[in-house]
Amino acid sequence: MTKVRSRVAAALALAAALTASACGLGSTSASGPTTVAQVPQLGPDQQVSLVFESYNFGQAGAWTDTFNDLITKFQQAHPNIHVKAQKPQGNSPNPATDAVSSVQAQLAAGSPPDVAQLGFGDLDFAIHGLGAKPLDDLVGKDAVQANFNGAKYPYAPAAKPLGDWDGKTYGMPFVFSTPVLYYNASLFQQAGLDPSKPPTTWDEVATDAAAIKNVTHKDGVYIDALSKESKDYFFQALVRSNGGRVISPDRKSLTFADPATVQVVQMGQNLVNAGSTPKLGQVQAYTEFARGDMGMILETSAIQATFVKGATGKWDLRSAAMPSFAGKPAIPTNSGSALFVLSNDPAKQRAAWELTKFLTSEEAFTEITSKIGYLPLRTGLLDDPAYLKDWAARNPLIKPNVEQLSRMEPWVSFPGNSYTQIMQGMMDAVEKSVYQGADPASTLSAAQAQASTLMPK
Amino acid sequence: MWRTVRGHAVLTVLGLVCVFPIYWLYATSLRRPNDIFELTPLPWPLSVGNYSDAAGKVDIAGLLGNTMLVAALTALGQLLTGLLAAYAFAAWRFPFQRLLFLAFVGTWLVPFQVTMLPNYVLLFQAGLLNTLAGVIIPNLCSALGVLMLRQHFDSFPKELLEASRMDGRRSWTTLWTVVVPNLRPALAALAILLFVNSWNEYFWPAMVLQRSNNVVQLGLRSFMGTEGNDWGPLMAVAGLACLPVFVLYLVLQRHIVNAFVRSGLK
Amino acid sequence: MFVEVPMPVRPAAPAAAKPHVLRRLARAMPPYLYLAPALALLVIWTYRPLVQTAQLSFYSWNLLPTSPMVPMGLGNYRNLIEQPDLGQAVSRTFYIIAGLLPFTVVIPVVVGLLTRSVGGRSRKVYQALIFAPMLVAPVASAAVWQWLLDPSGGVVNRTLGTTTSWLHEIGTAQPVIILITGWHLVGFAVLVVTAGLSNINGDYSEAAELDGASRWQITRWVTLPLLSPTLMFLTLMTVLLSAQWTFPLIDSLTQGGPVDSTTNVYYLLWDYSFHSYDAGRGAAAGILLFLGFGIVAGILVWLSERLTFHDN
Repeated sequence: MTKVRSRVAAALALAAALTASACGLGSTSASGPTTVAQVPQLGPDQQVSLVFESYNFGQAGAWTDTFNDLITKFQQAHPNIHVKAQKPQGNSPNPATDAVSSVQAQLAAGSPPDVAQLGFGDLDFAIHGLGAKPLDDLVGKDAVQANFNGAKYPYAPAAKPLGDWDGKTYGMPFVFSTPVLYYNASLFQQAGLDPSKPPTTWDEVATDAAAIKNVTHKDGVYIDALSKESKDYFFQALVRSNGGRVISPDRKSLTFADPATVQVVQMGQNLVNAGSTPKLGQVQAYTEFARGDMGMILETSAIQATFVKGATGKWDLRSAAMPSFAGKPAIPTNSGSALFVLSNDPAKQRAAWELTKFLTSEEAFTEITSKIGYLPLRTGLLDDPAYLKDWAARNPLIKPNVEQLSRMEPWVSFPGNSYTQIMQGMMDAVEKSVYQGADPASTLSAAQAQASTLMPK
Repeated sequence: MWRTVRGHAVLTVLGLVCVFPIYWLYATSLRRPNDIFELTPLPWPLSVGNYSDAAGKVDIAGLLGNTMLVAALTALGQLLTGLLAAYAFAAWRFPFQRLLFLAFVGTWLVPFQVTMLPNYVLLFQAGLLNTLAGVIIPNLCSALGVLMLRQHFDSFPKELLEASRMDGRRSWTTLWTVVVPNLRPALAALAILLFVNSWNEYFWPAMVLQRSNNVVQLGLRSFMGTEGNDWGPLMAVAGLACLPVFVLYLVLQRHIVNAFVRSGLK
Repeated sequence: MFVEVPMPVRPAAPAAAKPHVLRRLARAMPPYLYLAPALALLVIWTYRPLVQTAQLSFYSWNLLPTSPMVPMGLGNYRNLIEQPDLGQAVSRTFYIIAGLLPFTVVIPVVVGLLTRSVGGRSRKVYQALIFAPMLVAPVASAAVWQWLLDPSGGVVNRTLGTTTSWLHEIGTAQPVIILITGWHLVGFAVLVVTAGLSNINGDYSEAAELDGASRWQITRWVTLPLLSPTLMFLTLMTVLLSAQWTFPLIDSLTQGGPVDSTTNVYYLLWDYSFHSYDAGRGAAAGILLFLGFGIVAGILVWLSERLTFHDN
């Protein structure tokens, strides 16, 4: 009997020890809002080390090379700032998917990266969850505006407010694209279409795609905006172009089951049902297009290099603006990401700002645009022979993208801790309808009801 | 007679089905970059173009070296902790024995996703993030190792232990002079099994290693993500990621098969 | 759990008098000392996180030091059970298990029985071939299967003359995942069954043959029952581990899609804990899974102790 009792005691002790070791989770009391004071300039000899996390380092090839190159140049210009560049942890095929969870894990461990490149779709959470610092408070509104204006060429007006919240700039818009309709002019010709007249409405896209499918037996069109993988950046462009929204302007209620959205999804479904759009994943689709086996693809210019590589010497790659819905203006939205400062240390914050300025400078955008294909947010660069003028002349593909920048609207993030689930729920319903034949109206309504329970109360 | 023929036929078919994807992996990787889409069974003319293309994009030698180090150290550590624990279970009867044994078996029921984040935080506090040590240390104990060695101990003649004790040897000496020499084949087989398992692991390394893709599975994974379907170089990297294990397999086939099969047998 | 302690293997030293407490303690220490390294690792890296997760499952928290943990009681669990995701993932997991059993039990038994007469050197060669897929790293396997199944350039479609997008159709994605996992495992399972068959004492079937039993009768009433521990083991393994085995493939090939059709419980848990920023929800899912698998494992072990037929 005593033996049993001592064993119970021992077991309890073990359990207690386990529980005790489990301490240090978090606190149930809220800490006050962090006040951010303006940070002093760095002394000329003040050594600072900085951690910069960007998903571009997780992508082998042009992305990593370009960014390593930029960081080297930055260090040469600022010998007292040592930058440690890293990719997000995690193993998603697309490292951008891991950007936020990686920062979150590091914050939980108590050491966030000092500067992080996060998507615009994460803006709300980056500010209210991850505690991104308002740049306006950190370095002063004037300094931020001065950076927007640049040494020579200012940011495009539509690009400026993308990282803003309640009148303050939190994220410095960095790399993004608008939806571009890339098309295979060689296939257009074979199908008896005029390659100099790409479709301008989705109805025309459907007709042209059907023609390509019927005559050349290649695939017609792929809209990289209608599945969970594609996320919602360009889906929002389609919805806005049809006069709808995915979330109400006051950010209180979800509106992605409205008729305007249903029509967009219906359009996508019709393309699949007609056999004009293949049932493919994102990567498969853009590789097929790059191979020359598809007529058109609505895609971000981040993939442009792949297309150019595939097309060179084989087929005629061209680009056009995102098509519109008949009688309505096309409203492009942006993809991409901004640079956020997460550090709490004044010296690192200042160094982080220096890095941010450098990465968004005329020189940096020249490299990023010419090597990767993202938009130069300082559009004036395209007309200056010292920067991108020659390049732009050789790469007319960028024209529609730049032109769309002027009438672009922001990619809107969802609110709350479960914002990814909301986005995924929406895109799941879209994918289910477009590619698997579910009824768009009822599927979207069900998804919206489901996702509404995840909205912050 | 016809029964033997039938047996050969069945095994031939199954063998071909099993090997074909592996064959195709290497066949594709050895084609000339422009022949990737050929369907001829033999890759001819041979070319290492895909390999040099891949080598230009990822640091293959570095990846393989790191992976080798991680896998070898992990396997060694698991073998050691497993040996000691299995010895304890086999040579003594003690209070809580069954409970403690269940604690080992129970680890199989704990999903990786549950332990991932708390362990990540702990590694950070220990300053081991971004180090190969951070990949190795949390994996130093393998329940599989303990269980398999315990089975071997169970069939180990108890008289030998007893005799050693009678000779006045301490349990520690007995372990190294009597038990280990007798279990050498089993230990070798288990070591290989643990090595292969750890070689193929990639979830935990993905959490811990941030700076670059430090183990070969991650290198392959990042390749799949960004190079899209650039099949030739992708197959080259995939082929290299499997190569050391296959070489090990060619040399030690019997041991490896035994290790795996026995891991599944009472 | 309190287990009866049987007689010690090591006889206690001839007790002259009541041994001193310290000496008794010293004598009891060795097994614990040998266990200590492994046990410490288990506690630190497996059970401590499990306890933390259990705690976390009663809160809503985004893991960030600046935001408070909000106590939820059983709210996370209720939420999980009310939303359809988990239920759907569980039923998909059953589907995977059912789909894998042919590869891990049926085919191996058939092959094992049909090839008993193949021996010697050629058997070794066959073994080497069919076992090889087990050694292919999951990522490499994902890469090569993606290539084989590529809609336009892949061998499969070009041989069959189809244009199916195997990994992106709801109807085919899950079967393909099962097939690939089966490919990894079938050789291993065949070898396990073969080893099991060769361990069966030939006397039984000889005796049955003398009694005039047909070959099929012997197989049905002698061999299979004697093989039952092996089969039970393979079944147990399939049930408990299929979600884990398929996970790396799903993660690299389909990411749970299309439209969640390959999202099993393991992948759902991954999605919750890594791509959801509410750690409490993920934690609750993890605990549910731990308990669920624990119960299933318990039942299966209990069943196997009752159902299998033992030689001795």
